[in-house]
Formats: sequence, C-alpha cells, structure tokens
Amino acid sequence: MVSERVGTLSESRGGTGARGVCPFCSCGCGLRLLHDGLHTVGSAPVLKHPVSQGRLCARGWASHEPPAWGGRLLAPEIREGGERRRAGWDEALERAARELRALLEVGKAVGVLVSGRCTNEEAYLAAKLARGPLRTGHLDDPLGASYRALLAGLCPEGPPGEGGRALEAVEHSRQILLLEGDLSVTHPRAALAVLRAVRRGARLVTLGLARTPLSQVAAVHLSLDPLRPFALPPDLLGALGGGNGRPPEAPPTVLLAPFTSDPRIVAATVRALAEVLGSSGPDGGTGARFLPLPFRANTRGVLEGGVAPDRLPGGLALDDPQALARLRQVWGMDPWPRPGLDAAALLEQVRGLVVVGEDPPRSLPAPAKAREALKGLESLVVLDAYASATSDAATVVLPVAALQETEGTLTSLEGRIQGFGPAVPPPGRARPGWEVLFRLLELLGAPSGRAALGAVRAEMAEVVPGFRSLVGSSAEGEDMPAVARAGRTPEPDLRRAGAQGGGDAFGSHVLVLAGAFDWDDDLMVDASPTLRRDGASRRKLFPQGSVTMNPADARALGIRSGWSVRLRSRQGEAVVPVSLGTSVEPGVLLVPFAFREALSGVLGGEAAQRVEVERT
Amino acid sequence: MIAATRAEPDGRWVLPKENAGAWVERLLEGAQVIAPVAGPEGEEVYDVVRTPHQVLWDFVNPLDPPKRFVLPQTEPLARIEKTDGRFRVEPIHDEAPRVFLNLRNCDLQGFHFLRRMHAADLPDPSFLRRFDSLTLVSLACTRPCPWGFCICCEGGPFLREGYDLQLTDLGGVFLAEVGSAKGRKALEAGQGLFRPATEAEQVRRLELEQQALRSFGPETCHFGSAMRRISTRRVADELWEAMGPWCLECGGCNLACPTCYCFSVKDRSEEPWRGNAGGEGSAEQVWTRCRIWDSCQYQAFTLEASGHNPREAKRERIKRRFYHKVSAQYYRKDQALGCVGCGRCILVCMGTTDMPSVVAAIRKGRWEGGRL
Amino acid sequence: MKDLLIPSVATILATRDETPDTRTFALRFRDDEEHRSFSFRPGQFVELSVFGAGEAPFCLASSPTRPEHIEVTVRRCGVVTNALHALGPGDEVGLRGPCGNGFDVEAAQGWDLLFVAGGIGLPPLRGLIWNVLDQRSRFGHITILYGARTPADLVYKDELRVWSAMDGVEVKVTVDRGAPGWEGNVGMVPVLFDQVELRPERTVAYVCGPPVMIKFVVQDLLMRKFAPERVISTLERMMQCGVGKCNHCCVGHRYLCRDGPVFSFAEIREMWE
Repeated sequence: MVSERVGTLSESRGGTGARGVCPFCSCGCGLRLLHDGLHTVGSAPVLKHPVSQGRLCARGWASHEPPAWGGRLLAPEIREGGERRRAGWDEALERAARELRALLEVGKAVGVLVSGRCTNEEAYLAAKLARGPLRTGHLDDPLGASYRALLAGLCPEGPPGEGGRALEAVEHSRQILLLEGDLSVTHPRAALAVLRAVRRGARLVTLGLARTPLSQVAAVHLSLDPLRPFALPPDLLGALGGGNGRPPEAPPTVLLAPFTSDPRIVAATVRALAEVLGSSGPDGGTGARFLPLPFRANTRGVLEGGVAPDRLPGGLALDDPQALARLRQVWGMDPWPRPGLDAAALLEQVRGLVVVGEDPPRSLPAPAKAREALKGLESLVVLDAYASATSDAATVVLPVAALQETEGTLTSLEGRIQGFGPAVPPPGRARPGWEVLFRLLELLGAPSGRAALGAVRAEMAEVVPGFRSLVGSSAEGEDMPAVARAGRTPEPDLRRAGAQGGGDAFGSHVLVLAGAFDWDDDLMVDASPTLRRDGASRRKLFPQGSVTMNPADARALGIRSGWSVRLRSRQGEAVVPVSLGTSVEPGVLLVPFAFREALSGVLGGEAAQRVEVERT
Repeated sequence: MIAATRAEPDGRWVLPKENAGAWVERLLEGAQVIAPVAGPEGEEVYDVVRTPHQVLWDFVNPLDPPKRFVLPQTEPLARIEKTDGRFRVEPIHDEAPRVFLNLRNCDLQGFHFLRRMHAADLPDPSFLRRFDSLTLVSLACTRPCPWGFCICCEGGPFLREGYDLQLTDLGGVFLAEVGSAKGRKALEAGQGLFRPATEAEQVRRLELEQQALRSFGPETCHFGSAMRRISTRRVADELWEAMGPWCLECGGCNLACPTCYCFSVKDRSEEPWRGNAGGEGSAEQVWTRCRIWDSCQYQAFTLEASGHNPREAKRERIKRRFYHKVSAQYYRKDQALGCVGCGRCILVCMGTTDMPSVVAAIRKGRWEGGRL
Repeated sequence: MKDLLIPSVATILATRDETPDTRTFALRFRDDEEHRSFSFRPGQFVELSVFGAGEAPFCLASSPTRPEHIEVTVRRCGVVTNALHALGPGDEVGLRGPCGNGFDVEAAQGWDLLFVAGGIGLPPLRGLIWNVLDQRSRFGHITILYGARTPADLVYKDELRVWSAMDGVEVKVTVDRGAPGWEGNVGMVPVLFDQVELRPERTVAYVCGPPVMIKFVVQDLLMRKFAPERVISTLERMMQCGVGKCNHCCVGHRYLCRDGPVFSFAEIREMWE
C-alpha cells in the first residue's frame, strides 16, 4: 500500500472512534481517536495500520490529550493600543489582511512560518500565501532547515519520492548505519524497525555524539567528534562490514536524524557519509540506501507543500520554468520566484509575520533571540490551536482547530500521505486552519476557487507531485533514494561550523548541544498531562539548565552529580549543575536541547565549543 | 475439569443464529449494548452498537482492550464549579445498564481482576456501581487466537464461572450457559428466541472445548519458575538491565493490559467547551476532575515533588511491572496472576519486552533480544 | 457509600509563614458535621486539592486532641503547592482523608519518646508531639531533636520555645550552617545525640526528614542500641490517590499510602522490590 486515497479520507468516523494519524513524530503511526462528542478521551492502537501495526509509543497513546487539556485559543483576538481584545472572525481577518498589506505597501519585509504539525493542505495554502499575495520567499518551517540539511547531501531536489515501505525495508536490512540523536525518543517506530532488524541478525553501527539505548544493542558504536562531526571515524566502513576490514557485502541502510542543531554541520556530515559509503551503481560503492528522518508529523509534507525559502510547492526549484508556469496558471497570479531567508534569519529581518501552528522560541536554537524578534514585529498574525509565547505576542490571533479536530493529510517520513478526519469539533470559535488560510488568501486578493477542502486538494494535485499521484493511480516508487540520485550537492559553508576545532588547544572539554529539537519542548507534549511530566520535572530540577558529564570526568574534577561547574569558552561563561551519565564520552559535556538557552552564552551560537571546566 | 460442567436444569439454552439479531434488538431496548464491531480500518473494535447487524459473532479479539468500558482512559470523576469564590464538587456517576456482548473469556477474567482490586481494602463505589450495572456475555473461543496463551493462566478459552452468560458457537446455534441472575435476565429478554439445549448440543460444547484446548498455537508462557525467581529475588539485575534497550517505554503493555489499572488524577478545564456542553450554569470556572490511565513504565510515574525518582532507571521499571504481574506476593494480594494470556502485549509492545518473552528470559536466565 | 476519590470542600481559616517557602494552613471542612466527624491519628495525611491545579498528599501537622481545625505545613515545590501558597484565609480547597496508617500512639504508652526531625520533617511529628503532650502523664521523658539547613529553615520556632519550657521535655535544635545572630548548635542532627541522655532500652524513637537524613540518623540510633522495631519513621514516595489504588507509591507489594507511610525500621529493612 502506497498511500490512502483522497476519496476515502473523509469517511473516517467509526462509531465513537475516528481514524487518526499520530500528530507527534514523522513515523506516521495510525490510531483510533476516541471521543465523547466534545473532548477527545482516548487513543487506541490499530492492528491493521500498515505503519504502526498495533503499536503506539507513549506520545501516540496520549495523542488525545493535547486538544482536551492544553491551553486553547478560543476566539479571534486583535491587539489595540497594547491591549488584546476579542473580535469577530471577519474583523480579525480583515485586520490581519490590512496589517500585512500596509507593510507590503511601504516595502517592508513580511514572512511566513509554518509548523510541521500543520496538515499538507494548511502548509500548501500558507506557502501560497507567501509566494502569492505576500510576494515573499521568507517562508520556512523552523525545523525545516535541519531536515533540508539531511536531504542536501543526498537529494538536493527534494525528499525521496513515493515510498511508504522504507521502515519495512529497514527491518529486513542486513547492515544498518544509524546517525542519531536518540532514535528511541525521536522516532520510536523507526527504532522498533532497527531493533527488529538487529533481532533478525542485522549488524547495527550507531554514530552519534552520545551513547543511546540503540547504541547499546549495536555491534559497534562510533563517536562523532563534536567539533568536526563531518570528519567521520576512519573505521566506519570496516565496522559496518563486520569489523574484518572489508566493506559491507549488502547495501547498508542508513538512517539519518538531525543530531545537532547546526544545519551546515548536519549537511556536511551526511555528505561525508555519502562519500564514505560510496556512490552506488556500476562503479562500485556500497549502494547504501538513505532514510532521512524529519522530526514532526508533517515536517516532510510541509516542505513538499512548498514551505521553504528556496523551493516551490512540490519541492521544486525556484527557477523551474515549468513549475512557475503551472503555478501562474493555477494561482491566477505570478508566484514569487526569489529565495528568501530561513526561519532563524527571517525572524530578524521581517516587520510582519504570519505564523501557522508554531512557537518559534520552542523550536529554534536561539529562543531568546526569537522571543525578542517576535516582540518587535509590527504585525504578527498567529494561527494556532494552542496559546504560546508567540500567540501572546500576536497582533492578531486566529484560533484554529487542533489536528484532532480537523480534516487533512500528513506526509510521514516514508512519504506516506495519510488522511484523517475530525474526531471532535474545535472548541470555542476556532475554525479549521485551511479555511482560515483560504479566507486570508481571499482577503489579500488571491483569485480564489471554491472554499472547500476538496477544491484545495484538487489545486494541490496540479502543483504538488505527491498529491498528483495520490489522486491518480497508485505510483509505486523507490523505497529510499540511492546515493546515485544525489546529484550535485551544494557545498556547505563550514567556515563558522567547527571553526574552534582543529589544532586549537583552548579548553579541557567540548560542550555540545544535543540534537536539533527536544520533544519535551514541544507545545503539544506540554499540553498533555501524561507527557509533560518529564520535561516539567527537568525544568524544575534544573531551572538554570544542566549539562551531562561522564562520571570519569567528574571524578577527575572531584565533583558529584548535582554539583555546579563553571564553564568558560572564548564566547562567554556560565555556572551550571552537572548530571552524570555514561551516555556521554569523557571530555564531552552534553547540553540537552531544552537547556540550550542557559548555555547560549558559552556556546556563542555554535553547536559545539571548547570549554574550560572548573569546579565551583 | 469436566466434572465442574454439571448442568443445572435451566442452565443450558440455545439461540439459533437467525434469532441472534432479534435478541440484540431486545437487549437494546433495556440497555446500552457493547460488542465487537468493524472499526475504521476494517478491524474489530469494541464499541457501543446501535443496530443488531453491527454485532460481530465471529471475530479476532480486538487489540484495544474492552477494559476501556469499565475503566476509561479519561474518566470524569467530578464536576467542579467555582462561583463567587465558592466551590461545588458534583460527583459524576455512571450506572447506566449495559450489556457487554461477545466478550472473550480472557477479558472477562481481566474484568474480574479489576473488580476484585476495586472492591478490596477500601472499595471504590464509583467503579463498582458502573461495573455492577454491566451484564457480561462472553463468547467462548472455539478457535484460540494466534497470540493467546490463556491456557497458561486460567484465562480461557472456556470458563466455568465468572460470566453472566457464556455463549458457544456450535455452528447453527449458540449454546448459552447461565452463570448468574443477571445472565438469566439477559436470557429472559430473549424469551421465545432461545430453546433448551439438547443432550447432543451439550456434548458438542464439551467437544469444542477439548478441541480448542488442543489447537493452541506455539505461544506459551510458563509462569511457574518465573514466579519462583521473581518472588525470591533471584532474577539478576543484569537481566533487567539487558532488557532495557529493548523497551521503548511506550507503556503499551500496561495500557492494553486487561489487568493493569495504574492511574493519575488531573483537573481538566472546561473553559474551551463551555457553551457547547449545554446546561451551563452561572459558574465562573468549571473543571472536570478526571482519572486518567498511567503507566508504571513511564519515567515520571514515581517522580517525587522533590525531584527524587526511585525508579528512574528503565530496568527498575521493567522489574516493577513483572513483580506486580508475576510475583507470589502479588498473587496472594490480587488472588490471581496479573496476566490473563490475551497476548495483547505481544502485539502492542514497541520493543520486544512482552510477557512471554520476558517470562522466557527469566526462566532461562538470559535475555536474547526477545521476540523475533 | 462515599466516593473514594472525591474531595469535600474546606476553608482556609488562617495561614502562618514558617520559613520563606514554607507555610502552615489551618483548614476546616465547610460542612460542620463533616468537620466534627473527621477523626485521625498523628502521622496520617490528607489529600488536598487546589481546584484546577490538582491534588497532592500532605501530612497532618495538627493533633487530633485539638480538633477545631486541621493543619498542614506546606513547602512550595510543585504545581499544587505553588497554587496553594497563592491562597489565603477565606479561600476554599478540597480535602479528602485521612489516609495512611499513622503513628501508633497507644503502643508508645509508658515509654520515653525521642523525636528526631530534619527540616520539613518536623510537621509530621508535630501532630504526634502535641498529641502526647496533651496526654503528658501517659508517657515518660520526651526529647525533641531538630535540625535544619539554616536558622531561616527552622519551622515552628514559637512552638519549639513552648515545648522546651515544658516540664520533662527536652528540646535541642541545630543548623547545618549558622547565620549572623545564630548562637545555637551548628552541625547535622546527630551532633545533638551527645548532648542528651539516650536510654535506648526504654525509648521509642521517631525519625522524620529528608531520606538521607533518615538514613544516617537511623544508622546512628541502631549503633546506639535502639531496637529496630522501636525506631519509627515515615517513607516517602510519589503518591496520587492516597487509597491504595493508583500504584504510584508501591514499594514491592506494599502501598505507602495504605500500609504506611509510618513504618518501624524493622519493617523497612524487610521491604524490597
């Protein structure tokens, strides 16, 4: 099975349970959302779902909680003289359109940020809003850069095509190379695929900045150099081949997760991997098959819908004349063909911003900067189901339905496009996101068609290749892209990345930011009483943040768990408590992504820094 | 075993299959009927039925446990209203009459496990009211399910007691065994639809049971030695440690388990739904105090306000689960093994640490990665 | 039958700050009849709700011999305690209980009593202390040893003075770190053991405080020949329901909220999971 049929998407009610797709990570697990007519009250596994096959992770089992327990946005609001007040839908929408139009008229920059927890339909309309009436390329998903970095080394033209069976292929692989933050936390269903393969006798090599649960079942774990992760361990191929110095016999499967927050480093590492594993095909090499792992449920779909500073809907190149012509015809207006800034950069530049389902301070590497930037905007139009720092700063709040309350599709890491319907109606006066975006487009002067989700999908089918095949006949594509298809890879700019590395003798230890995202920082996780506990307790235990240190390092310093150390880099210094763990290598101090803010002065904007460590 | 099947004079009846729909129709007149139906993905799920033709009479036991209907994942306990700074706490009771139709016997045993636990020590009247308003009609498994191992833990496939009514599919008819007054009432609701069972039908029922017992698949779970080892602390910490990476802490083993009941209590704000809910008074604020499913496999389950966590390590949590399920100490406390052999943990486990895999590892004293 | 998990409404009558982050709340059930019928033993606890924020267990810090109100002493450290600290006299909360086993006061009759408390561990003992002081003649010599991190962290300062002025009651206080103006003892609680006369063979010892403090105090007492069955302590776990159902507070097959939280060291020694 490649994908669900659009035609059957809305027939999702089954008694007191609605067909749902897990809204958290990108594995694409199916579930049944139970409800009492008003609230979502339960999540049930679905044995026959092709991806989850009856499994759900802790987040999946709690997927009914965020909409029922979270702090919801209930009515449109507008800011007037510093005060926010409730408004009618028409008034709020008109206000949003007026604010944005006023900025455009005086030539001030506007931008659009879209979350990977939006549906494909919402993402597409948001992209259309940016490249259509707002005439801007400042369009991004705050977690998009790290996903694009994974793709950059492999397939610069966009994510791998139709697949839908990539996880099954992982389960039957003989050799697996896993580049991860911690797959068992970021993508549990993918972790199960790896465990199953290992159980079947596959050889697993893990590659990362820290020891993880999966590294404990691996044949070999190789540590990346935190300062130069793209300089891969020399014994990589041998480790994969069986430790006898020979390259692997079968084409290895390579799972790639963003393991650090700097997209350039991620891209360079993936590129280095692709080089080591060799280009497949006639001239030898390993024929490795790569599976990039986007974070959120729809990070991939949002990109394919056109949310990127350098892509058109369908993930097509900005200078693709055919794509531009098709968009012009379908939109009835010229698509903006120029590249814009990525999420972090555009926040600094724009004066007006539309944010769809996102709280940038939670997902960008520099939260304080993001918060400041949001406060300084002249217009901030926020479409979200949940209240956040971003909606607090908004000039116009447009409350939209949560994923569990709307109809739409999500594209999984495998490229599986799955539909779901509303389990319950949205609370208060919230409306489906696609509908709000549709009206905003109309008000900003985009020639509009019929205000129906079916019409939006039909439009998408014309410009987003993934959707075309969804409406047309089943298009069985490759499971994963082979390196051969990687083509030209843009050279990542590493002048800054790892600049402190090399022969620089400064510092006794290396301070590293772990991962590029932390579920404990996620708005939906925070909205779930079951899921929020871990993150909440961590924040409570360490209000000033903490770093993880190898016990051997602690012994050498004469300190114990919970004691504080002073960290000093060339950028700055901080005093933080340490927690001890053998998951980190000696000489490395790991900063949980959620604590990035506390160490931002020491890290100085980098993902890794040399530091001097002293006991206090 | 056979000796216990002594039929009471009025104990055995048959329902011709063509009458089944009419019987459900009658049951629906006096109660909510919950039965296996076809779910959104075409698989079997338990749900409230509206019409008799929805009811499945030949089905694989649904993966999602029927315990939801006695112990919901989100259970409203009380409505809390604040008006002028004063609070009103209104308990929410649920004692609607319900008939649970075509429950499998493993789940029936699970239901009784939950009832015992809620009736023991300090009884929970809220649970007991709901439970005791249920009529339990089980459908014996003449064909064991592929992953079930109920024969290893007295969970089925046929039962001698515990049901209000036990049905057995004899081909053209269902044989009905009455187990209680409630069962008799359900039978009487179908007056004219049932007839007394013949001698041959009663013999057939026994043959089917024997046949079912013989046709169990390879899935077994030998609790005896595992229980001895767990109860006497003779499972090495290294074994639990070795299982750690193979458990992805999904909590599915708990949440899908017919005998698990760990919970937390939280207040849900009703603000977003006011005006939708109907019958809203003048209260300034309204909350619903809810009892929600929890799992001892989640790290924060034992996290104290001070930040101290006695079961921070995954091995401690896995060990905890099996101590509660399989130790003699808990066997005495709960009067049963904490497993009814339904096999759901095999299907829902995000890793490989399901009941049979772990029990086998304890017996062997070696963890090899669990289920293949 | 009353619902197990549904609280009754109670009113905050008064509050008293004990330390910068610890406050005592005097509570009374809104329903007089309910208040009159509320009976408990020292060492038991109540489940207290701040509606909307949630429910948490707090040991009863008052004595059943003084029934006009119920007292709990609460340190601010989580969602519920923060919300509770935001409330004041006249505000309403939810109360459910009493829960747990409590101290067996009858069994201690005729014995000398030694109370050893650390920091926020004094409140659970305070109810017991008042309880025995209110029936003073039934017990032998009473010794109260109390330690906190700093002078500012000492709770019930007035009551410590009242107790020490009573006949046959010996009170010693120490702090881990002194502060300007502090002229008392400095050091961990066991330093006080050498300042009082201990009579292990005729004494029941009650130890309450943070887990590490309990650990070293109990070790010390055992070394000084106190019988394990007469060293009484309270155990701490995350508690939710308070009625032995939710499984959060299990140690092995015991439920601290039902079988505890009060255990003798002889019992604690036998607990494992």
